[in-house]
Amino acid sequence: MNITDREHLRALFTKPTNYINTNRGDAYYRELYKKMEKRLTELRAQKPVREAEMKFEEYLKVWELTRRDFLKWVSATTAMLMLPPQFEPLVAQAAEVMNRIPIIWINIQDCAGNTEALLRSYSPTVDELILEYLSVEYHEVIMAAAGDQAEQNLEKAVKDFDGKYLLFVEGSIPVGMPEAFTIGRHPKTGVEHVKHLAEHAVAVIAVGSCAAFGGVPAAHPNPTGAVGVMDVVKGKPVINIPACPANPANITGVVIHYILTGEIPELDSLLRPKFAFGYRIHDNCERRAHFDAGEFVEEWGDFGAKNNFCLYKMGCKGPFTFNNCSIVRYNEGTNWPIGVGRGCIGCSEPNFWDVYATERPIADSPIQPPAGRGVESTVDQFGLGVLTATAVGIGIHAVASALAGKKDKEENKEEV
Amino acid sequence: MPKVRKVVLNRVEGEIQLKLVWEKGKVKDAFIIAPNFRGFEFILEGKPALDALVINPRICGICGHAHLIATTKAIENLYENAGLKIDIPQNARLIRDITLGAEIIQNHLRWFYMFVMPDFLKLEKSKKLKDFEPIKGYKWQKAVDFSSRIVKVIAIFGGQWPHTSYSVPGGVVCDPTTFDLTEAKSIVDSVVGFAQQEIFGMDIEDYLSVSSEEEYLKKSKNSDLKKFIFMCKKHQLDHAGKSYHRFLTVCDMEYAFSKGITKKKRRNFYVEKVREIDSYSYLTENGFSFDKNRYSWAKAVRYDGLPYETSPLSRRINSREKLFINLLKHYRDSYMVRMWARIDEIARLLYAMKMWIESIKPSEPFYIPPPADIKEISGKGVGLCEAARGSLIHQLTAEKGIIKKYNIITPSTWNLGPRCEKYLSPAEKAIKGADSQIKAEMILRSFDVCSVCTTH
Ligand code: SF4
Ligand code: SF4
Repeated sequence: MNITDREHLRALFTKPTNYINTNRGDAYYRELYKKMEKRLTELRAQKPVREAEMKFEEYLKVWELTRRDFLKWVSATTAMLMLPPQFEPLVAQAAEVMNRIPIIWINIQDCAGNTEALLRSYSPTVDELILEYLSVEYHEVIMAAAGDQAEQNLEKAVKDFDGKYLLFVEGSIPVGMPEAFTIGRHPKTGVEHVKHLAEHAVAVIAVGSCAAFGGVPAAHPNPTGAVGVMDVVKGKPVINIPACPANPANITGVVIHYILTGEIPELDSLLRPKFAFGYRIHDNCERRAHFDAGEFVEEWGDFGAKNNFCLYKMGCKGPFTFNNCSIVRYNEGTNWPIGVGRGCIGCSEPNFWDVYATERPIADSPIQPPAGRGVESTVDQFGLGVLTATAVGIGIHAVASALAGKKDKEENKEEV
Repeated sequence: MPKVRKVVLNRVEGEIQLKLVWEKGKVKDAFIIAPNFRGFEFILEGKPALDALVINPRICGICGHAHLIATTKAIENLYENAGLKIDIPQNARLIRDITLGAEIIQNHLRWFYMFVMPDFLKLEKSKKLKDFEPIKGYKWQKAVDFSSRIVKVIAIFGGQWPHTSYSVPGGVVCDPTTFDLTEAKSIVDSVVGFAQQEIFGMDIEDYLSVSSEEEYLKKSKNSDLKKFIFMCKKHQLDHAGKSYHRFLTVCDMEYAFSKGITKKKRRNFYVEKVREIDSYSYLTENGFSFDKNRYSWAKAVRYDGLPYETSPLSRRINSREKLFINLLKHYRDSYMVRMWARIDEIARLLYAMKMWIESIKPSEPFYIPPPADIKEISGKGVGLCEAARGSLIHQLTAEKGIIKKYNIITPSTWNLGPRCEKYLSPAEKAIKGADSQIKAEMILRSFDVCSVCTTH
């Protein structure tokens, strides 16, 4: 059968893959609402990480943002986390207590692309909320301190916030050739660095495909033996936010989720948050109608390209790629690769450089369709509630799997 | 015995380490160490040539777009060397320049406001500098805002930034509408407004006609560039940080700069004269070596056997711009002049971007298919491109469309690479003689440090 035969394609891509239960019923959300309120009250009672911290309102003013800008962001974030609109006030409050959470951000074998994406995220998301309001205790790129002073700051932050900070890692870790990455005055290798900081963190967030799965450095023949954070860090929850670069909205999403619940969001089998990686690019693609109608771009610049036909024959990997950039887009929602007609390269999937890369049509590429290894085959390895002993483990967007259901019940019991 | 001190400059993406040897309160020798390595050139081997279009932008999250353009040009050159003429529509050339211009502008804005001006806060705690304080300062925030704005131009044509892959052999994949062009233009206009008001203190076109320092200081209202100049003078940075006074630029950009090399006189640039030397590098021709005298993952690059600086300053000089020729007469290639050239380029590129956007004709093609399938092509190709920090060279050998060898020479390799038997790298040379650690760091930073690019 011809690979681009419509029947064939339909069969391939309509297989059940990942379903997220976005409506778990009133009772569930009522319960969840109460829990979040409780958590926020607790956080509000805590002191900000840094003394003399400005109020959130003042930050908005400094950045010349209106309350309305902020509310717009609140509803977008609430929707992204797949919470019903009545949760908006909670999300707004979560942003306001963000300065209770210390952050350490380090770069290993990276290209700084994620930091860049973050700095360029839209107002008032991360510029203000993470970089500003969240207490970034250490970040090589934006920090004023350099050299020895920076190293001292880092060690101080580790001591002061032992067991409390979220550790963000950007870039892969060269375990095969530790000398490919050294840091600081007394050359510490990347491996040692990550292990040490992870040991004292509450959870580790791997930002970008390099930190998640090794990324480009790990592409064949993997000259430095690069791996992702989850292969190095043991005994701590790891959250992967892949893509190249990771979408800043997803970074904020994870943090907001942590603030609201004290827990890490529900993850898929690749440790990616389901709220962001629970569906395929293809499921929400603006060119999908053309795919269904069998209208494809056959060559760049052709009639199809001018009329935004589907890019599947040009090697688009949207049908295989779990990510939400078809919804969130990049650079303040300005655009995304499919928007300009380049197609998706599958950058949020492991090993995509070796198996998915560019324009090899599907017939020539060693890709397995995602059915069978999608989100529904996920096991929640860390359970929700790993992070705080008192926290109750209800995933905001638990998949309607028997497993998730059981877990909710059990943990609800504990609270009573 | 001279005193040795090691400084880690990790405020930049990745890290660069600086080892300083002191004698009588002055830097006697400086070693620039690029301690991080990923191995892109090895990863590219054996992959289809077109894969390089998505892999290479990931070399750097800050100048990834320049890597995309260099890759595209290298593949196009591969076709040409195989005797196949490739037509690149004028529209595509313009779009590539527009997006490259936007990337360079965002870099310079950030570099000046987020790294260079805050450095002066370490030299003096003056109230006048309050606005430049990282994160809290008003100017700092404005700069982040405007540098984020200008990259939206890249997103309009390229889909996202960082890491776009919309440029392909034969043109670009996007097909912008008049609406897209208008949007891009209005973004450029808003950044022009910022540059006029905050950076230059005068109309951009007036600024571009300025030919001497006195003229600028007289004509400009209160501006950040003026503040910068005064501060350089106050701290003797107008004469510090001199390097070889040799300049290299590999590619032209209409309305913005021209290529060439200048060693006393300006001459043509020939890529055949470029050589990499690995005698102080961990990465050698025969694999890795950690011998005692080796100290960096980067290699040294020489043109005709000599080290050259490549940077916005080189572009100014190779374009024979009067203002900078005059500045060189007084100050030579000092910290102040090198940084001024970076800031100057913001004006020049904004002006050029407006012209480029206006020259696009949406009804004409943006892509013309190459005359043959890449799978039929074997041979060599070179891609030359000017990136924010200077000249970028991609060299590729392919066999039936599969990459056999790929070599990347980044601007930072030119400027911040290690020494060879005969010469220090331009930045190492510039740091020699600095009288404090902070000034040594600042001089290094005037080259716009980028460690990931240095070693790739
Ligand atoms: S995942 Fe991509 S953006 Fe991130 S560090 Fe790696 S190459 Fe850069
Ligand atoms: S462009 Fe890609 S993601 Fe969009 S419909 Fe076509 S194949 Fe699917």
